[in-house]
Amino acid sequence: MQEELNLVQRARQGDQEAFARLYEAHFDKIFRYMVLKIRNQTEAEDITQQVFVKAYESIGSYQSQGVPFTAWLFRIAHNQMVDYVRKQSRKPTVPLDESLPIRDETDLEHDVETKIEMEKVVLATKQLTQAQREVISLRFAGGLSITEAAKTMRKSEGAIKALQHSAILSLRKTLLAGEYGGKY
Amino acid sequence: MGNTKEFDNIFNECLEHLLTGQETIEQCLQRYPAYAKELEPLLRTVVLMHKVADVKPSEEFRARARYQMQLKMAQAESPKKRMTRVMPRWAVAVCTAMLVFVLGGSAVLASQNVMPGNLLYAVKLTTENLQVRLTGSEESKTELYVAMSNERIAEMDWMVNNNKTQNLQAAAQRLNNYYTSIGEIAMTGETKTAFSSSAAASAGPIATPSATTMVATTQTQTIAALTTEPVTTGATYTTLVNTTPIIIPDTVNSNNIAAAGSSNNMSNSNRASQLLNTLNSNAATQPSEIQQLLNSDKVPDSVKTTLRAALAQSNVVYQSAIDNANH
Repeated sequence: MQEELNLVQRARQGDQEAFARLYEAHFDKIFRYMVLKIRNQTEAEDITQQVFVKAYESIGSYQSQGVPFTAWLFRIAHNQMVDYVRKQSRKPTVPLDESLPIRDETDLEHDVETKIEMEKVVLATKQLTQAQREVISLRFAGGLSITEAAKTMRKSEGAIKALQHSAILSLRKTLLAGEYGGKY
Repeated sequence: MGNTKEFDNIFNECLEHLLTGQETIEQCLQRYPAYAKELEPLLRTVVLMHKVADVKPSEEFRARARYQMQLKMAQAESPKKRMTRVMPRWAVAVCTAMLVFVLGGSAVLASQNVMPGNLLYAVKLTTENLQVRLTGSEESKTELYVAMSNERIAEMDWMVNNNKTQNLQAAAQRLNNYYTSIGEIAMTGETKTAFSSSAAASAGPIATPSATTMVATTQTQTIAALTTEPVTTGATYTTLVNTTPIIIPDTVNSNNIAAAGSSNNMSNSNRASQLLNTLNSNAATQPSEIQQLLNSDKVPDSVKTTLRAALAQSNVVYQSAIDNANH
């Protein structure tokens, strides 16, 4: 944690190497968050890039003041995602790619087998409220702790725990109601 | 109520341990047997959700994103870069020309690997068009148009594979335009006369092909190579799809003309041979690549109409250009 604080401090002062290390540390998490939120790999890639460009442009004005760097970065990610959704809503109907990317090309066969099963779970997340979905994305894809998720969403830790619990309950309920109920 | 709160705490604790890999579902259930029946289905849902979210970016995307971030950071180093945001098109063109001829083209070369939709794509197109305009001989223009055709086909292939089809029509239209230009050059027979008259041209202070730079790269060329191997001389062009060497003319100044003229007959012969090879090679490959695009379900019908026109043109213009070069 102290190392990240040092990196952030250096990056704020224009140290590009420090920013590059922050970039490497958070790149996968932001990408996973975007994929789960947007469900379109190509768009998720574009927005992930935009998040880091935005972060780079804004890092000079970042002041922690109780908001960890991770939370700050995920707020940028959330805002970029909201912008994307807003723009999409203005366009003529553009179907989202509901399929998830293959996780590892070396494990292609296994992934194809489980892909359909996983897509059911992704579809089930549609039944969640916005706040529940955000918590799930931050916690499961972004890998944020309860504290970091709370800072990102400007909520209490208790509220995050409650949202997380209710989201899992809701997911389970939706999956049980589906044709694959027996498996879950 | 008390039990509910206790269950919530246990669930959150187990969830945390599962997410951080400290415990398995079974270990958690063993610790809380009284809640096992309630806990198990929820924890299985947690594991499933965690598995769904475990997506890794492709190496290709990782490399592309890292490179673009480096570009962004490099741009930020120079406060003058801000000016480009308000520069009119002519100014962008002038700057691009300066980059090519003054700075050695490394920044422009960096843009050559970008794809439609990228901010640098306009620089890439501007650079290509400038190269055509600044190229004196018609045979060199033909070479450039062939290379640009390869580039557009490679981009279309990339767009289809990455589900970014919004710019397909523009690329298909550009491809058609290049074929039209190749055909126009061939029909006027200037390809042939340019070769035969190049000895005379070398006596005057005009731009004429002298040294050739062969640049061959593949789609898998690493981004690092682009940044660490800047081009040190004038107009250079790389193709993303064809490993066949492409002859690239350097624009020479009058001081170099005498030296270039001394080996004029031999280099003209080689250039003619190279041009023929390029034309023959691409006449064989490009139509089949266009056909592959036409076979794709991802290509919209409107784009296919343009591509069919390009396919028809490619067969005619390549034959015409080859006939001219043979004479």
